[in-house]
Amino acid sequence: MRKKIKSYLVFTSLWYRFGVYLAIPAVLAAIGLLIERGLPGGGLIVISVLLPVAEIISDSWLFGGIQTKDSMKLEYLKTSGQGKELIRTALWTDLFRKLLSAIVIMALFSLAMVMGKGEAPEAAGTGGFGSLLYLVLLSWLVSVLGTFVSRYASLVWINLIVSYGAMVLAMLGIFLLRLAEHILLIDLLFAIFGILMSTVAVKAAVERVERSYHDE
Amino acid sequence: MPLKLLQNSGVPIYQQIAEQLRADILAGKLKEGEYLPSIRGLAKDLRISVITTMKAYEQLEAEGLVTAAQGKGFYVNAQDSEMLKEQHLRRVEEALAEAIRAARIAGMTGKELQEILRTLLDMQDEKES
Amino acid sequence: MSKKDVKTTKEIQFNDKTDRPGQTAQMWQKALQAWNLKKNFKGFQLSVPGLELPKGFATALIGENGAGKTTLLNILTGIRLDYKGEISYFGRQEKGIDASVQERIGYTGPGSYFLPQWTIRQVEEISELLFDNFHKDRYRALCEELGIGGSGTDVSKQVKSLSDGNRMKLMLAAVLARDTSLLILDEPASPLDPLMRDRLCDMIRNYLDQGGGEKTVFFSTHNIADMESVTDYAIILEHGNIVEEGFVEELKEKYICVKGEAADAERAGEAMFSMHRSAYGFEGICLARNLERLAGMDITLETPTLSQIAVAVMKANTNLGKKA
Repeated sequence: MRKKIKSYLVFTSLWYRFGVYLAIPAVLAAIGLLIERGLPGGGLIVISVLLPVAEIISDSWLFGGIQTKDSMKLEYLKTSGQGKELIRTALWTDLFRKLLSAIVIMALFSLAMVMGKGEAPEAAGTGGFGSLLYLVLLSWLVSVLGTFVSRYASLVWINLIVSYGAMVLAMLGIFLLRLAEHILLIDLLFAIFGILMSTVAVKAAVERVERSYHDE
Repeated sequence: MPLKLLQNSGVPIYQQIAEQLRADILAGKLKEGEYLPSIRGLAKDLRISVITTMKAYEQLEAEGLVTAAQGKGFYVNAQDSEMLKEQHLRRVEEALAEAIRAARIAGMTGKELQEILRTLLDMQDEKES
Repeated sequence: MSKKDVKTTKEIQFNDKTDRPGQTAQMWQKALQAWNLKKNFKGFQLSVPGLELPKGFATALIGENGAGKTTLLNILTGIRLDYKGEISYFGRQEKGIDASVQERIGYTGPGSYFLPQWTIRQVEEISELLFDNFHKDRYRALCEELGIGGSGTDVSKQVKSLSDGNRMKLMLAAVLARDTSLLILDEPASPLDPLMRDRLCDMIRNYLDQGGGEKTVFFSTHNIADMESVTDYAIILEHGNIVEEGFVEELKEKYICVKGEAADAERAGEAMFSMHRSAYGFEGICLARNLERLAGMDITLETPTLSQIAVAVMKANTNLGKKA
């Protein structure tokens, strides 16, 4: 486990860590609170829509462009037999971290809502457990999808465009929430789809690394 | 064991090393059975390539002054008087050969060369007496 | 020179080695052997029928830009796998590279090597993850010794903020902090200042000495003069072919530096390997076995430097200026 975290952390700069662990959660929470004032129950939804935007844009400083042809000329990694495994571990840990971020930020926000208003979750505008989980998984799924797509380019502005797309996708997902009856079943489907999507994303990047040993 | 190398003397480095070690061996400063510094250690200390050091040692080995021991380096051979004589004789021959080369370039005959040698010998004798 | 000609010179050399079971032949244990290495690019082919690195020595890879040096080193290091041919490392029976072989090879290169945002401390962390034989203490000591990070300087400095010279030093620190048997260094001297090049030579000699004949260094360089004092064996590569190789001391016997009178220049030109003439005389490199053809001329002979030999050999094989 320690090695997994270390493998991931070596790819992150101090600024990235600051952004992802402090700045982004703080800004999202602030926006959420602001929305909550005018539109009760809207805070969490806005967070679930904006988190993928932040994740996709910040990813350009992490694995940005890793799936492009010019990437992974990191010779130092390639001179080690353990280099490829290290990248694979780092990629997985990153996607897992994105899920963890969504859980922690949204769970804490919900908790703050419930405690702050002193009402039951439903009345506090956070919905039940099922819908919280839905928003978390939706947010994560869209993050993974957007990250995967944006890694085919190494330009920040492309990440920006992809993140807009992700935002629209997340909003569509939220409408689905209003229609859904079997919320836990949809949660399960989202979880499965998220894992599948992650597998595809990791595979795409690792394959690119493998191809970098050969000329094209 | 001090070693002095001249970079621009025209004498190849390996020869300079071999000469100085040879002198030390012949003078008994390096004793029988004593090991020469390791090839790579000497190269490191003299800041020259390994192959240069090795060539110097191989030259000494070819002259019979040292022997290579598998995996242990080179040690100094017993220097019997016959061999010492041989060594000294060789050096005289080398020096004279050099003189002959110089004489050829100057267009001198063998006789003229012998003349010079005789004069020099006389001068040396006078100095010593 | 056609490819066929190149091959014949090489055969002659191999015969030389067997014909003359000299002292150096005993030491002819190999750290690495390769057969029929081939790699095709557009308009360029790397073709090395036989490559051997003598164990316990430092071998220099010399050649023009675009001669294929980096490609060859990348193949040997295992960061390029798209080639034909076979390589055996450290006398192993099985051919090719694997994790255990890579663990024993330290490589530094001019390409993108570290991630730009890695800090000096992060390079340490990633090295620990990548290599079991990486010693943190040694890395820190080396960084301090080389003036990059360590007490007093900033270990949170990022790779992208380092100068080319300091980046090279960082690579050396990371590689020398490991227990390796073979160093493959692609142009290590180029980004370094004269003082540091001197230091680099010391580090290479130190590495060889520590190995006691078991550690080998293979480096490419354009700075032949600066690296000559640490070069034992030289391989000269021209447009993808090895055109000359040998122990430096043997090459210095094979080639002689000749200086002579202007009047003899015409006649000497036929016997010389490479020559430069002016109104004051001629000078150049002559194969020792052709020296007798200069008999009767007023010439001065000198042992050439490796740099002189390399330039002469490269001149004889270059495409430069011949293409038109």
